[in-house]
Amino acid sequence: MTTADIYKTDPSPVAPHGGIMRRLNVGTGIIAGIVLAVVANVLAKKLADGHTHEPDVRAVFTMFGWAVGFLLGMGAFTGPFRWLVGRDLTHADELFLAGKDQGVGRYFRFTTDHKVVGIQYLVLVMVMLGAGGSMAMLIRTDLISPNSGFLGPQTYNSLVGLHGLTMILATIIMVTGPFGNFVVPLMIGARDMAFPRLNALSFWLLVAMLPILYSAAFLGGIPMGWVGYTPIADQGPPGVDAYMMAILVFAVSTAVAGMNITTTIVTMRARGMTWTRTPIFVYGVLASVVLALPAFPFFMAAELLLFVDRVMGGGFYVPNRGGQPWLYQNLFWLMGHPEVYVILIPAVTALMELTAVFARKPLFSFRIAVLSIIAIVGLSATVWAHHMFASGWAPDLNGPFMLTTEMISIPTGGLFLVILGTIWRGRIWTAFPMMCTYAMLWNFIIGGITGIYLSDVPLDYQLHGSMFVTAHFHYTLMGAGLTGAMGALGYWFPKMTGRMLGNTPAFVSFWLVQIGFNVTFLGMFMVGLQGQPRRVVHYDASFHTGNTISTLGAYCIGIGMLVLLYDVISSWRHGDLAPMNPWGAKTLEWTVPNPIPLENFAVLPVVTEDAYGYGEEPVPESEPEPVPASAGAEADVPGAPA
Amino acid sequence: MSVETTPADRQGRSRSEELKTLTILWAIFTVLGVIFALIVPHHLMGPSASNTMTEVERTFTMFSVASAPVAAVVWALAVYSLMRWRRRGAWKEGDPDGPPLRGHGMTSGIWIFLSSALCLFLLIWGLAALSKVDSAAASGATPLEIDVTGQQWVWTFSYPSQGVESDQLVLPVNRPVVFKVTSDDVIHSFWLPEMGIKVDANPGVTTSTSTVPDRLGLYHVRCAELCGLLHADMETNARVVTSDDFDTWIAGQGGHA
Amino acid sequence: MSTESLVNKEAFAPEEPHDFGERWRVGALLLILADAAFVAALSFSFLYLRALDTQGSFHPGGTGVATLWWPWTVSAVMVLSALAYWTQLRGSFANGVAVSVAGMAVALVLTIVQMYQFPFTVSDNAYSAAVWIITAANVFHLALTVFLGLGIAIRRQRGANRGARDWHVRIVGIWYTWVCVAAFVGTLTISVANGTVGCPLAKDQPDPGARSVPSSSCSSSAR
Repeated sequence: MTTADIYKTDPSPVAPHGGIMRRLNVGTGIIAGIVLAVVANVLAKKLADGHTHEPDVRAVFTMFGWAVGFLLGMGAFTGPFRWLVGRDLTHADELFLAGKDQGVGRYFRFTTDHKVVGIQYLVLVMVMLGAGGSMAMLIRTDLISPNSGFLGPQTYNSLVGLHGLTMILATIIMVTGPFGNFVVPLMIGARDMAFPRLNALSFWLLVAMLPILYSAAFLGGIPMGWVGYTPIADQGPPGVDAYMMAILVFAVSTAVAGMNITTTIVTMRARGMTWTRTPIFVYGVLASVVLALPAFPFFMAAELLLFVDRVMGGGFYVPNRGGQPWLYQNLFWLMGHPEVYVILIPAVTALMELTAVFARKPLFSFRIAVLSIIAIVGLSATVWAHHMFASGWAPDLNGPFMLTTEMISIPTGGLFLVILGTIWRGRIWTAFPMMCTYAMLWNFIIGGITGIYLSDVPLDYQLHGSMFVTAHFHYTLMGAGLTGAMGALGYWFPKMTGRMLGNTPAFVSFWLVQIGFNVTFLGMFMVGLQGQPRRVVHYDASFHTGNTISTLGAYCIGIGMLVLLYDVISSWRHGDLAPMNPWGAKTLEWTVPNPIPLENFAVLPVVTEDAYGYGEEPVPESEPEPVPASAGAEADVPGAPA
Repeated sequence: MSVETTPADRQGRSRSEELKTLTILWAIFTVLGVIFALIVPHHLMGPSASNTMTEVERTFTMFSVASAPVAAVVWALAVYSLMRWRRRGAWKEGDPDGPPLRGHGMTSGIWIFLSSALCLFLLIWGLAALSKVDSAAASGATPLEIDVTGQQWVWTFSYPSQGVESDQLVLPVNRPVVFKVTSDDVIHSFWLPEMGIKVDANPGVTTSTSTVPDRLGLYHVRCAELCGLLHADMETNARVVTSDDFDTWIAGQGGHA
Repeated sequence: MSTESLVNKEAFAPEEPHDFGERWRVGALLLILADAAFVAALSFSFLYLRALDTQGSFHPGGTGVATLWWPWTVSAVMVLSALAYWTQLRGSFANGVAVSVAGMAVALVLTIVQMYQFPFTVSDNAYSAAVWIITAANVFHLALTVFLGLGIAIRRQRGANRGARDWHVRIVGIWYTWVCVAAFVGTLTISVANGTVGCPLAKDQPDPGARSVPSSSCSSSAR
């Protein structure tokens, strides 16, 4: 099969109207989801009539019905079913699923093409960031003065929880979703992901999750913040069921996506792309998903136990029945701290990748970059209890956990070294993506240093649960993570959409967001040090100044983000057409034409050197190429007679 | 369109000049950072009301001072690179690349060594501070024991040896005090911001924390763990009084000293 | 990786079945890794709650203790089924796959019956909830296993396991082995907890209002 075969538009449109599969799309998904949700609700009413936990049983059944129905209606189970009965999908079916010749419609189907999934993820992430950001604006508006009364306590608490959860979920997928799916297969020279159908599944599971998550707002809200601590989650309204079910769905999606991306990177790199020739961004994505893979099941288990508690009256987290809230905290943070690096590593490595391009220099000390990432991944599994220093869980373990936590600052410093070394003597082109690198250097050093304060046990006793912590993790997750994702967006936008991101609005947005960001969270550090607890709907008059500063800064971020949104939409619709390689980068994704054909590469590339050979003498044509390290078949020598 | 000097010229420029400018930038940033570290945190955290808080503020200031040169390195390099090597205008096909610098063993080694050393220093400092904080209440006079109970959304303080229960916290100055904290319903977190102590109030178990209040005055008790609807209102006063006033207060509450 | 020097114009050949198979196996192993983390989390939860025995209420008595016969029997049936499956792959047992599916189905039914036979309800105490969830996890594993085994059986019947898809048979075999391990871990967890549940925890406990951390676990008190 050659690319010509794949792209040849069949004169007779694919004949086999084989099955119902070809008629399914997001519309049928929604219909099936609603039908099954109603059926499940009625069933649950019959089953649990008059039972203590009836509202929870009904809520859970309905949500489960929705998720299963939606996926059924999308056609997610077609593949497994056909496998079961021994009638595997034909080649024509696979091409249909890949979205061949379907135009825009393929974005609304169970489409398996990694580029479609990447774009879908990008839109989903922007929607989630928009939702979470709007909630942040409401929260900050409420906090503009000590007793603004803008929001009631219940609304406020729910908003704080939903803002947190939305943003955490969005930031977890914000780099590995859009760029991991779209760019990584291109970058490693593959035609698609290892498991294209699972790729689609991981995305549509998230779509199924969103209505579940936001139904919490109509089911009494969630009273316990995004961490969902028990036992307050045990006694919460059915909104907590929505939280719980959303996490369960998200965890499945993460497992599927993580396994898929890992397999793709491990087994599908182009011939000759040895581990030393693999771009650093690929390492970052790999580290992120490999870390998430064993971490999220702990969260899933925590929520399943909560499920038993709430729906069946179990006692996992209820002290007078032998349960223990510390169990939840342990399970949660066993996921929760690795998750921070799940967010951070791919964002930082995306910036490393583009820093080399915009400085026109090889990545400084590739080896330290890789070792740092590995060290962070390893250490991050051993630090979870630093979130529980003040919980009284195990005071004797505070010292050891302080040790592991502070050790993480060494490999993190390694990441800084790599970026600074790459900038050193570079020919720095301060386009929007590169500006994001500089912003990250500024923000992440503040986020990192304040992290060291929090790793220190006596200081943590004072600062834990205060606004200081809120400011700290916004500096890492937003100041470094989201900034990195924005840099990645500016960098890969031309390849993903075929158009350049408008420069002036991006510039305006950058300054609004970064200045607003620093104003907001420096103000928050201020009130945190003064002693304002987190998640309070009103506060002591002594914290007024800092909070007002924060709120004004937050509005500035909001406006900046709207400018960026405008820029993305308008550039996407009618921006300048992008050349194949606008930045002069050397990674493989820039070797494919715009728009990218269905299976990416006409001929699979063979890699003979890494992607950072800036300023180095190109290998002379006459010299024989080094033999690719992982080659199965022999590699042809360019320039040799074909 | 690039008005910059050629790479050969840049090589020619004296390296010591480069390092000099960088060092000056670094020194400026460090000094600014240290000044900031010495003044601002202490000012924001306010005068300390206990030996624990003194230790906390000292550690915070120390860490800030220690991290000022680190942040200064990063910022100096970032600023210098922009001043010195920024390209005017966009990249074009055929522009010369930067020097192919793929690593520098000495730099990396120094970097890793310094960050490890700094990390070790912070760790030792932290452990020392931790043991000081932990042993604070063990020294000196017999500690006053107070049972703290959180419930949605009030704090209750009971003084078992004195037989007093109150929704206000009153502490005698300069006497070690041990708080035994628990909760009746969900998790709360017992926080005395001015005294630098915090511990979660967990239902079903008792946790403890201790300090020595050393400054007379009116302070706050806050809840630092989201505990439901009126979490923001779950605060009360903590009064540090002289030993005599404390006895008077106990007597006034019907207790025995 | 500049465009010109790297893209080899004629190096593309269709992938070997072996490559597909290896890839599928890597994927399956990764999913098993995630599942293993999940099983570990459940086991950890059970033993952690057991060790803390908060307020002496982990299993305060008054309700029954799960018999260990059931889970061990189920585990044994599962191991035998997996053995049957693998012996057919090795070529020495003609109907091994069919037998293994039947065996796993029996194990599934047994586990469900077991859940109805529990001498307690899930809401009694932390012990009962923990036993329930570990057994339920096994039900989930077994349901998936029966689905996969059934698929392999049907596909063999239809001759659908050709070419690269022959790897499915081996990969499902890996899954068979894993569910046995998972069942073993779950059963072992219940056994360990059961073995310590009868010890005199409840009466040593200070009353919940007392101000001391309940620290006695079974190992520290007389067994």
